[in-house]
Amino acid sequence: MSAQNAHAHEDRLLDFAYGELPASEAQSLEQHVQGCARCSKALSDIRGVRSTMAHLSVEPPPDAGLESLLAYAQQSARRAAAGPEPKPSRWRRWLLPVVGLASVSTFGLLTLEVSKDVNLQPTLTQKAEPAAAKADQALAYDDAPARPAAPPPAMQAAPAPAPMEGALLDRAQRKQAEASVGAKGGGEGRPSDWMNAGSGGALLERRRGAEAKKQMSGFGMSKSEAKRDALSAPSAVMDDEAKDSALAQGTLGGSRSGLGVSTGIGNGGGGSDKLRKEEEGSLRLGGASYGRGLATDEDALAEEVALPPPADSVVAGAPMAPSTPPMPTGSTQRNQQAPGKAMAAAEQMPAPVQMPAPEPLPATVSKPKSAPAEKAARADALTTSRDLSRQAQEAASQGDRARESQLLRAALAAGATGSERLSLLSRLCEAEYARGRRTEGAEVCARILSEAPDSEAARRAGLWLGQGGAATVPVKKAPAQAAPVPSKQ
Amino acid sequence: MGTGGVLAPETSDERLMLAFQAGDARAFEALMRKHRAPVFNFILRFVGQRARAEDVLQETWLKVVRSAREYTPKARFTTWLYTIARNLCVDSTRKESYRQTTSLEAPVGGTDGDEGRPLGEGLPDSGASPERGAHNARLRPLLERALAGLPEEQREVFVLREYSGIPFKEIAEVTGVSENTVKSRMRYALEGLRRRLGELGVDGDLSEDGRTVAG
Repeated sequence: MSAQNAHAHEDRLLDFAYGELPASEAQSLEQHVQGCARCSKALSDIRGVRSTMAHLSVEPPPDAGLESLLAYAQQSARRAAAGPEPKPSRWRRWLLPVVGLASVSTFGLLTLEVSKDVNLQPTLTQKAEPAAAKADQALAYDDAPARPAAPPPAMQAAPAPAPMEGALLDRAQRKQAEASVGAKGGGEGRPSDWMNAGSGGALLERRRGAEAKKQMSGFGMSKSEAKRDALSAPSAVMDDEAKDSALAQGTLGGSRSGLGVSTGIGNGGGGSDKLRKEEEGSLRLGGASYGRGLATDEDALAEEVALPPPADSVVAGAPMAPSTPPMPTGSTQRNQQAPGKAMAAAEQMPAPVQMPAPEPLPATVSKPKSAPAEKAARADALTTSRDLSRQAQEAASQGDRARESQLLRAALAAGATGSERLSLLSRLCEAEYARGRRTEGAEVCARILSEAPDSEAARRAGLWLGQGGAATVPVKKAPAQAAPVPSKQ
Repeated sequence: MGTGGVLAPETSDERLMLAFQAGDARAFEALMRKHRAPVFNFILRFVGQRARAEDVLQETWLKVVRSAREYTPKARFTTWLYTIARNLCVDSTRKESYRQTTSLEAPVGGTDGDEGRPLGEGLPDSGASPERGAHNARLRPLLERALAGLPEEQREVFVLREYSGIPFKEIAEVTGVSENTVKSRMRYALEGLRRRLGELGVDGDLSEDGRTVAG
């Protein structure tokens, strides 16, 4: 007991000596120590040893290994920070930058593409629009002299941008060509698409170079004969493209596939511009140029038939003329319609792509088949009317006004058109007045005035009417009486 | 004096250790800079040789890093740290004693031969600080020898408490014995040192040096 108490007291002295005793206990122990010699001795021994051993200096730790230890600790701390889910955190750490970079680069590429399109669009449209306007004019006239005017603007526009934009344009160009057709096709009409397709096709051709040439080689042969085979080449292209018979689509499809109208340009890249223009003109205008070509063919054929007119055929034709009025009138309408056809079509049909299609394609397809019969009939009509006119001239020179007027009426009935018809009418008017048949003369003159009020013949008819004093001539009756005119006498 | 002066953290060691567990390497650095010297001196007093002590010191802190996840705030950080260090010291001492007994006739008896402590011989003289003057330069080896003459279990308790500032209760945890045993060993250690210092004639010098003994 006492020993344990003694040890307990010594232990408390240890705690007191090392400051581990609570303050309250420390005070009471200190008071006890002051009054207890034994405890005071024990405490002094402890403090004596501690005081002596405190002179033993603290050894500084080595610096060796400190850095490596800290590095190891940092590595371990990183692993600890990574925690039990290191992979997700890595994923997150890398996913965000990677996805961000990808999205930014994608956006940049898209922006570049769009900027290309944006930059290109004005150039093409600016170039295309003047050309389109000219093409509009050309279409409005829809006549042979106006045709060649359309291709040159496209050609001037096409070669210029081709070298500059060659690098920039590629897929974008194709898309743009399609987009421009799709977007502008409904509104602005065929000409711009035409020009777009034409110029775009030209650009594409230039850029595609060898690849296109390979594809074109087959078509190039037919294109080189384009003037003669103008009918077959476009139709072949259209048959290839097949979706629509529209000329614009034909050319557009050509520009798309590199086989279109402008293939001639690419093919003729090494050749002269003139040749290219001619080829492009004939090809780009497609059906219209075909129409022109057909018209010239018809004219040539008509002249060939008309120039050597057999005298017998006049006799044969003369009776035929009255008996077959629909034929001459039909041909007349056709001839009159030819110049204004495209204009009327342009006004009536805003749809640009299909607008040129109905006219040229049926022409290309159907005309060659029915051409011989129609041409023969028209040639007959022309032959008979001119022949009758010549006979009327002879009768007039012989003073036989009655025969002259009869022949003139026959010539008119035979299908004379245009200025020839006016001339015939004018002569008939004069002949009738010369014969003293004022009523008939006034009737004929009134028809002249109604049919061509601004012409020279009308002015003369006005003079005849004024001289004849035939104020009673019913002008409105003229059309109604126009039909019976041939039948009179 | 040395009562808990080493452990006066503004931020507790436990928080620092938890921070290191969470991945804060600076917490580990703070802990190491704070405890490295005391741990080294404990190791040095334990193993008695500076080279070995340095190795054990490095191993100790490496084990702290490796075993950081195993640390739980239930125990004080110093308890955990000195437990690691002590175990490594025990291992090192065993290896060394085995090596010595197999290589050469172990001078286990030492010069004093009381309890056969090699530490008295092994304690470094080179680490003495010259500014303490000639008196301390003369005194240090005696103190080293006196300390080295203590039994290992007494020495470690004394070193942990005197130089490392580890409370008795924690020393009991580190050493794996009861607090009373620790205090008993401490009493024996103090008594042994006083006797040995007296034998070495240090006591009188210290008295002359001034006010050593509580008076």
